[in-house]
Amino acid sequence: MIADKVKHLTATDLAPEMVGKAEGKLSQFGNVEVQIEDCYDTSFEDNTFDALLMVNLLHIMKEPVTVLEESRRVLKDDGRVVIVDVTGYGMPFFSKMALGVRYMKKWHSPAPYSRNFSPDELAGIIKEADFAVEELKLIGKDTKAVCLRGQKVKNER
Amino acid sequence: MPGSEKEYGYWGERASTHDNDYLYITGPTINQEINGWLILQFEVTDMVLELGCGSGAFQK
Repeated sequence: MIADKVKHLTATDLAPEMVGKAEGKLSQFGNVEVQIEDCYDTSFEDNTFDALLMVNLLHIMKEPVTVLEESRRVLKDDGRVVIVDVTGYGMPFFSKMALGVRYMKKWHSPAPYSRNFSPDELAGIIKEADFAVEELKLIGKDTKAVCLRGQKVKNER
Repeated sequence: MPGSEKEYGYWGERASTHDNDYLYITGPTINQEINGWLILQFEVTDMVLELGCGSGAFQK
């Protein structure tokens, strides 16, 4: 879907096993590259990308602001971040409990550093890394997700 | 600071069954809603970098 819409997509992950899976899934797209990158310290030049996508990443990172600072570096001056994080925030108590039970049944232990973002918490992290929030919403009829689009603030710190 | 084995190793261990497990845990509805929002965020001229692409489930 995203690969069909954009000019070029560079999809990265630090886990080689995940990159292998993504390569198999995305090899049909001529405009997609998949490679191993460390989201805290990528190999890309400054001001390279129009948009930066992070789905279910920031809520499992030890230092999400550092990831956003690296994102800011590689984005063009008018670049934007597009962020989605699934969250238990805003879920009814028993739905949240059921989500946790399903998680533990499949993955047996919580992800290191995992947290449930509220929209305001995610917005605060974005602002700390010098992005302006353009759109922020909590979606989901049962399981919830925080969706945020942010614009790179042009003035350097 | 570099990414740590503690951060990415957890996911590497779960890569082989990740997509089905993720769908079981979160349910299909939220992922349809996420995809519906995501597709509106990009332009045909965009050069896009994804960090933490995982198994590639959200790009296809």
